[in-house]
Amino acid sequence: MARKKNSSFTGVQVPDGDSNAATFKRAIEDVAGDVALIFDKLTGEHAEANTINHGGTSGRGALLRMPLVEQHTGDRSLRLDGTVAAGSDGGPNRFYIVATPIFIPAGETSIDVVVRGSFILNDVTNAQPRVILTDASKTEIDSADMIAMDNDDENDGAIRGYKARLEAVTAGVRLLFIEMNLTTEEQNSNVGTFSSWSVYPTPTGTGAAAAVQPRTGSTQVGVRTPASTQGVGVRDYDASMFSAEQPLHSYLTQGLNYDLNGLYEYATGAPAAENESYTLVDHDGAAAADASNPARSRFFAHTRSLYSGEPDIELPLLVHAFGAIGTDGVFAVDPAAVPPVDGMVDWFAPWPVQVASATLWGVPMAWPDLQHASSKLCAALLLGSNGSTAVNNWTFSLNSSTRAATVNFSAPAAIDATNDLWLCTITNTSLWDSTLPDVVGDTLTLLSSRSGAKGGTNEVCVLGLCLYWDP
Amino acid sequence: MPAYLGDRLFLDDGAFCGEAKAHATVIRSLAGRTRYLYELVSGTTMLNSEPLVSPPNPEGEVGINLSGPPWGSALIHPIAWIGGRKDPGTTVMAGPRPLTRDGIPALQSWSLGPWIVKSRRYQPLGSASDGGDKAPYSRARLHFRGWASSGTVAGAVSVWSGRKTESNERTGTISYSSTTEAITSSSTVWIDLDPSGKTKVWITIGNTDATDTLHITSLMAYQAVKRSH
Repeated sequence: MARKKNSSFTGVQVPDGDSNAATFKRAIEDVAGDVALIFDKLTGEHAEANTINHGGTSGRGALLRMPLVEQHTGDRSLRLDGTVAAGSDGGPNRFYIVATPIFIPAGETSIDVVVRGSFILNDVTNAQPRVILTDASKTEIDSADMIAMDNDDENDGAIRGYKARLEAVTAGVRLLFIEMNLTTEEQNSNVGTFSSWSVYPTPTGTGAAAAVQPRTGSTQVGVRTPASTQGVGVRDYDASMFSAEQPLHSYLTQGLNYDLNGLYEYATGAPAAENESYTLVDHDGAAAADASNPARSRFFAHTRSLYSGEPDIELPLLVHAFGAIGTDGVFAVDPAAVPPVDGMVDWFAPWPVQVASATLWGVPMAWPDLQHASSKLCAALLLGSNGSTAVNNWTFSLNSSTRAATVNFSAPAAIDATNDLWLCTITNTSLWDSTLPDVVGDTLTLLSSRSGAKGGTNEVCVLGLCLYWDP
Repeated sequence: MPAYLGDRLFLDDGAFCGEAKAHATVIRSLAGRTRYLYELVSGTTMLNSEPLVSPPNPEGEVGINLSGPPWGSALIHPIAWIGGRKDPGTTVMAGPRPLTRDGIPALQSWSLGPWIVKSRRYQPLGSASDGGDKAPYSRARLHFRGWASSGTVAGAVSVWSGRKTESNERTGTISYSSTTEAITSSSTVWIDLDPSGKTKVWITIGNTDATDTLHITSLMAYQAVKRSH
């Protein structure tokens, strides 16, 4: 049987749809071939190469435009207390208030970076905040000065936010730095409170605005109910059905009508035509409907519940900045004291005190309902050590409370010869079990441990964490 | 002028019954919808010279972007977060990091905001007369991770979205009954996200206990449904 499928979209020309036109079998054949192509691109069936992965290549789906970061710090003061170590320029202190890995999905080329809080930056010469994007070796990809977004709307001399646009970004795991000049309380030239920061793809169009009304009622226009092993009930049509000797009958026309309606529901997630109810239902063919278990998904959602070749997508999940560090690698506080009393005592990049295994940080986590035989969940962790190689003695790991699974990051690797910054990674972890349904209410924690006693009060600080799905 | 058929002319089953005449509307519908669907799926027009027949998605671009019907099933994932840690900052890790710092004392409250949350643009699903917007990205559910200094401590949560007015307030209760951190949520509390993808948010948690302290170490706002609330 030679399944009818077009290698690229063919379409039917307008004259074939004229009210006086005869309906030629070639037109029905072109439709059948295009329907098969659409089905294969969505499901990955029949070894289709150009599946819909939303990765920026033409014909492979719209970009998802997922926001990359939306973190609130809980309102952390950037005040500098007591004595601070000099910055690399020997003068006013430049800090990275954010230094973290970040995952940029394929296809994104421009991002907006926003910091919000309350900033009084009076030292005009040195006060310009700046955002820098580098590769994993800290080679700059793009950078930009940040511009004040609104000026003193509460008449207290403070700027509420700064924004910058990076228009030459490239996809992959990158390092993002937000740099600010900050001074001591006595100097009081550049101070502030850091509340939140966002990173998102630069908006393009204005988007659709009309509301879609929900429907209740019955199904009037046909959608073929899929078998329990099918995501969507679409027929295969043999090429011989369209030969000159074969009649044109409703098996083809009615069949294609059902196929198109089914594919529309499957792809859009909306009932077909003017139907008021779905025909497709999330279920496994035996049990009751279940809209939360990805293994029972019957809609196009990259869950791989039924089609083993369903395209994977790249998905940024979480980026968390832990605190500030000097741009010259010096800690933002004097680490001799715990808790520190000199430096940026409210927003410094923290460091593990205990050498035995300990939980350093946690967040309730919402995992996407993606599945894969081998998990595609990845992570990157940026550390600072002020030139010390003792960071090699530390092991960092991630734990998922629901899965009761802990996975170690790779050994820290210095990103350049200064040994100031170190990067650890997790690629394709076992944190995600493809047989588990999506879990909401899981706790993601970061842990550390050290082999042997420490040489001082601190050896490594935690700067930033990035979590993402990368097939 | 387009050279190829492309529209959303749907057909009911009567067009194909035994007595139906074979109108050109059949091929016009089948071919038109196939091209319309191809644009939605592929995110591109069939030929560079052909105009688009499908409307733009909420980002103003072509094709399904998984932002909720009719632009595909929505993805479940974090939207906004505040990470944290329970320990005070001297034993395990230098740096006090609980969200509420030393906790919310008895009968006191803690507030955050305005927090301008950037989320995905989406197309509304339904209206106020239908019981509100049901689009997946219209709501960010909230999970709070916290603990009680002693016994059981409850917190009254208020979340305002857009404007800090009574009509924009969602309220609920969370509670913790252990000094071990746990995750709680309230089914009546969420952030109402604006379709533009930019929402001003305020959060207040009031400790309703007369004796003990309520601690919140971290929180997560996330998108939780695929096709509608």
